Formats: sequence, C-alpha cells, structure tokens
Amino acid sequence: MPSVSVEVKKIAVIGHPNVGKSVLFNDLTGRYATVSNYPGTTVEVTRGETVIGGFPCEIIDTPGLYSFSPLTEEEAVARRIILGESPSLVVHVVDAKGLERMLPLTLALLEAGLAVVLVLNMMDEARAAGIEIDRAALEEELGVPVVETVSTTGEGVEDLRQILARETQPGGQRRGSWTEHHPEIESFVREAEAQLDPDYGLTARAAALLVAGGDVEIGKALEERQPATAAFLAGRMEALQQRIGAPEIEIAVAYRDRAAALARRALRERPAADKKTWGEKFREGLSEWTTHPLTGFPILCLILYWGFYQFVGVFGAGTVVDVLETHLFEERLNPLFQRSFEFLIPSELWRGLFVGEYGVLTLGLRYAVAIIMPIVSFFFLIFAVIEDSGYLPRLALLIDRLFKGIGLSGRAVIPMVLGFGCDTMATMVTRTLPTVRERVISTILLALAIPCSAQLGVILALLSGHPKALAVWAGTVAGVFLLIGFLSAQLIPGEKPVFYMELPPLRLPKASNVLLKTWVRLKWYFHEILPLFIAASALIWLGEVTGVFSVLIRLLAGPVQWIGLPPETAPVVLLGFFRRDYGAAGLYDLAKQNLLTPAQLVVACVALTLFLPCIAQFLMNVKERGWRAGLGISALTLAVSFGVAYALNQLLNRTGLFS
Amino acid sequence: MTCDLCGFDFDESKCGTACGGCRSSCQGARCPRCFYEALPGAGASGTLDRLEKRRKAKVVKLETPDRLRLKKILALGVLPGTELTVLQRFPSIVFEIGRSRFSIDRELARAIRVEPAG
Repeated sequence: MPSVSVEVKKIAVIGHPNVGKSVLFNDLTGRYATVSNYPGTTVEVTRGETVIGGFPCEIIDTPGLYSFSPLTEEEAVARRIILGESPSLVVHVVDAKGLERMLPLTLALLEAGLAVVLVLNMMDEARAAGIEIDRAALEEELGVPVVETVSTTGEGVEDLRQILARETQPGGQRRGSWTEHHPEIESFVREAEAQLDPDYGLTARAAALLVAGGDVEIGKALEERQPATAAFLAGRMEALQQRIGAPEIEIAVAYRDRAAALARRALRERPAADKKTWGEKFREGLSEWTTHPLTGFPILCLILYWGFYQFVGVFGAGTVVDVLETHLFEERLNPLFQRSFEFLIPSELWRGLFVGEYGVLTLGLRYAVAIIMPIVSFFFLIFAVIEDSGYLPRLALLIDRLFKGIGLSGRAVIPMVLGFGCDTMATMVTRTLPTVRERVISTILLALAIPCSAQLGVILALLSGHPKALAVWAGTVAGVFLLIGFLSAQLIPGEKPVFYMELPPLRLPKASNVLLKTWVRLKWYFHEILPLFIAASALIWLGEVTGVFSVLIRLLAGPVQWIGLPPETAPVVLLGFFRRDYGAAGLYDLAKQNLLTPAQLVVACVALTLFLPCIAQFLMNVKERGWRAGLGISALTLAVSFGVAYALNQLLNRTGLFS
Repeated sequence: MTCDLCGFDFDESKCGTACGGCRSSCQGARCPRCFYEALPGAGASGTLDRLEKRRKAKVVKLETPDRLRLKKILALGVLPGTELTVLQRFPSIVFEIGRSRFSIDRELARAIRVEPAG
C-alpha cells in the first residue's frame, strides 16, 4: 500500500487562566507531550499528538488569555497560535461557574471567524453551586457545539472527542456570529473593513475592531503592510475617540452585554445556592484573614515558620539529610565505592576522579542525592501545597505596597518565593512579569539576595545553634535585598509597575495536583543539576590533578582572608562558583570540623548567600536577559558579596558581638 | 449636571472647564449661572479606592489617558455598568464581581469611577 501523507490537523485549546485547560489537554493527549519555547519568545507552549476520528491531530495547549487583545507576552503567544497557525478548531475552555465573565472571549473568537468549540469545564463545581446550564440554548445562540466536562475526572471528554471528530471533518464548517457594536464603531468598522487586506489571519471585521481598540500587534502589521491605509485609519480613529472616548471600552461593553443576555437565557441558578454552607463561610473568612494586614502577616510568619523553617529546614535539611548523608553515604556507600574502585582501577590518580576527595561519586553524587535532593524535594512539596491552595495571589496583594518600593509589583512575589526553592527556575518564571523593568530587577534580586533552598537548608542547619548569628545573617541579607532593590528601582528606567490580579478561591490542595507539580519540578531540577554536579566534580578533579585548582585556591586565599575567613574556606568559595549550594554544602563540612568561629561562620554564610549565582543560574540569566545583563549581574553580585562580607567582618570585629 | 450651590441644571459638556483649560482629566465644570466650580457627579460618585466596603456599586466611567492601564482594567471585566463590591481597601484593593475576586493597586483603582447601586 502506498503511504499516504495525511495532513496533521491542529486543535488549539485556549481560555482564561485557571479554567483547567492543561488538565483537559492531558485528558485529550495522554502522556506524550512536548514542551518548547514559542519561536522568538521565552513562552512555553505544550503540544501533544492524538488520533481523533481516525486522523492524527496536534493539540496545542496555549497560555492563559484574558481577552482577545493581548496584554502580556504569554497572551500574545496564545493569540499568535490561534491566528498564525490556522488551527482547524479552537477549543475555548471556560469555567462553568463564571460563564458570563468568559463568554465575551467566545464572542470575540467567533467574530474573528474561528471555528470554535465551547467547553463548559468544572461542571461538578457549577452543579454544587446550584448552577444549571441550558446547553442547547447556548448552542443555538452561538451557533457552535457546546460540551460539558469535568476535566479532573474525565467526565465529558469522550463527548468532546466525538465533537472534535465531527467538526474536523471536511463538512465541519465555520459559522460566524457577529456582535452588534456601538453605532460609531460600526461605521468605523465598515469603512476600515473595505480597505483592509484579507491576510491578517482573521475576518476583516475582527481586524477592524482590533485596530479600533488600539491593538498594538495588528496596528504594527497594518503600518508595515498598508501604510497608506494605516495613516487614513489613524485619522478616523482620532475622530472616533473624540466622539465616544476609548473605543475598546465600548467594544468590551458590547461583548459583555451580549454575554449577559446569553447567560440570562442559558443559566438557571437555584436560589438555594445563595445560602452559603459552613465550609464556604469558613473559606471566605480564611481568605480575608490572609489578606488583612493585621492577620495576614502573622499568617505569613506561621507559614514561613512551620512550612519552611520546620518542615524544609529542620526536618528536610536536618533529619533527612543527616540520615542520608551520615548513615547512607559516609557509613555505607562511600566505603563501598572506595573498595570497589580500588579493585576496579589500580591507578590512584584515575581513581580520584570517582572516589577521591572531590570524586564524582563521593562528592558529586553524595551532594546531589544526600544533601540537595531531600531539601529541594521538601521545598517543592510545600511550595506546591501553597500554590495549589490559592494563597500566592493573596500574598501578592498583601505585599504589593512594600514591593512597589523596590520597583516591583506584588505579582513578583511568586518568582521571589520560588527563588527560595531554586533561583534558576525562579529566574525563568520572571517572564510572567508584565514589564521588562520588573523582570530585570527581579533577576538581579534573585541572583543576589534570595538564597535557594539547598543553600538555605545548609545555612539554617549551620546557624541553627546560634540564634544571634542567624539573626545577623538574616538581617544582613534582607538589608541587601531592600537596598539593592531600592537602588535598582531608582536607576533602571522603564514604566512603573501596575498591580492587578485575579484571586482564585482558597481551596484544600489536591494531593494529585501537588504530587504532579512536585514531581515535574524535581524532574526539571535534576535534569538541570545532576549533570552540572557531575561535571563540576570532574572539573575540580581535573583542576586538582593539573594543579590549576591549587593555584586558584592560593589566589582566592587573599580575598578570603581579606573578609576575615581562614584560608581553608578558599575551596568552598571555588565550589560556590560552580554551584552556590555546592559551596554551602562545603561550608557544612568545614563547620563540622569546627574550623570556624561563630563570627566567621556568619561572614561566610553572608558571602556565600550573596555570592555569584551557580553556573545554571548564570546561564539562565544570559538566556533570559542577554549576555551583557548576565555578565553585569554576575559582576555586581561578586562586588556586593565581597564588599558586604568585608564590611560585616569589620563591624563584627569592632563591636565584638560574637566574642 | 445640577449645580451644587444654586441648583441650576446645565449641560456640563457645553460649559467651560473649571480650571480654564489646564487639559488635566479632572473634568471640573463651572455653573453658567453662579460660576460655582465642581466635578460632575461629585458627591454621588467617587473612585473605587474610596468606595465604602461591602457596599454594592456600579462602574460609571473609566478615567485614564493610559491605554495600557485601561486594557488591564478591561481585562478584569471592569467596564461601565459592571456591578462590584469592595471587600478590602488596604494594603491593596480587593473587589468582587459576581463570583470572581480581583485585587488591584490604588493607582488603577483611582481610574475607576463608581456610584452606589442597589
């Protein structure tokens, strides 16, 4: 049989954030998905393959979209996919509980001439809230198929598959549905429609509406392709604005009014739903406590103390690390490795690569598995619990005012908290911040003053016996965070941050969600770091064998003594260059041998916290911010860490706080 | 609008602005009869950042010359005619539309003019 090449049909899944798009995507595709950066951006897009109605289909999971005219880079990518990749179908997923709020986007998609399937997701929650939806009425009004689903249980997914199969058939046709806009806008649209080229990926009517609404991307495309028309329409738009103000308000109002009328026809709410259950009242009360400044900060402290200090610090970095490190590696595995390699490799030089002081197995694997893995796992676990509960947006609004002082909006609290887990991952997450200025400031602060969980765990373990030392360390690092943040906000140009955020309801975290998130992040983390640990061990071994390492240590001994530390800490600083947590773990070894006074311990911890980011974070800085910014940030952290450590050492010696 | 001082009814869009054309967006109006200067709708309406808590209000106007800020407000579903309730004002403003809750900072809230509803 000759092979027939079948065209792969594309189906884009779109919708507001937090409506269960990704879970539905997983329901449709199974486990096989690829994540890649959208060309020319740092936004990740997940694509998966499946067979629908006998044809291979590519399902695209797009970033959350609030409206058809994008505000953030992520929203822009979502729109570029639905307009630029001409998917056969656009699956618009909405939260059935918020139909009225989400239908305006459906209407905009229909106006753009896209073939839409509307998915009412979270039907279980809607039913529990007493909401009934007349699906047939919606289908009739919108002229598109409507499916009810519960993506978390898979309910309705089979129906969706059948509808997708039907709609991707050649017979499946696009049915547009127009929304009547303000008369002034309608007359602008009629005029513009006649002049716009048909190649903007959507109907001329929708393109004209986007132009009227001041959409940046369409505006640019228009200026490039049809400069004369662009100039003509600019004049018309000015006149339009004179008459009715910003047209985007009227356009949004028209969609909103029609969505409200649709919802009135299709929604039936049982009046009993207004009575709140005890559970709902409790959740609302809790939600208010977390955002009220008088109760919010004590709650934050409780979460930090129990979730991070006790769970990650004391239990994860203390008890679990001790078991793995002392009992598993030092007592059992390392001697085993050493004996086996004595047998396998007679040459002591080569044996050192695997089981020497800086051996790949005895150091690299030991650090990665016994020290870093438990700490990072415990951190990601607690972070996933907090994330899934809906607490983070509440923390963001609580902290927004303080963050404005360092040039950030409350939104930046998410990468900052994640930074306490892994700064590299957090640097990647800064791309969710709306302005370049906020991204640059948070990248600097992450590199400088946010210790990652591995580092934090080791530092907390080191300083746990000395409350005074812990206070000095925390105070110094917090001071540097605020000072550098304040200075960056003064020096870095760009627009001032604006804070706006949706607050999803607080809920009890779902075990499956929490475990999945923890697992995915751990996998990412080990994929990134294990090779680096091994490579760093190998490099250090090479440096030692060739003598480069001892030269570097001698060179570093100067600056190290300059900040008041014994020369034995020079290798630690060198390790810290490869990975900060690696350096921190080295410090742990030194402290166990009682080589440091409490004052020296504090200075060393401060220097190491502020020190140059690990290689992975340096590479991420370069990837996200470019070479110049990446190198600049590294130089800055180097200068600040040594400068602050020097000043702190002088201060501690003069005041004799620890003597 | 009705003049707060003498009670004269006039069309605020046709009379001169209070500040003599400083081109700010305050939209103050001067009563053509007694020359008393006031903001149209002042007293009856205010901006979201000053709205009493737990009191249902209706958005009457979005006032910002910055289109990017306007878009952010629109993205949350805050449009003229939207009914909302402020739940918290400090440190950030929290409000509810239907079943959804949002938080914005004071600068954005100042651009949202509201009047009591219901």
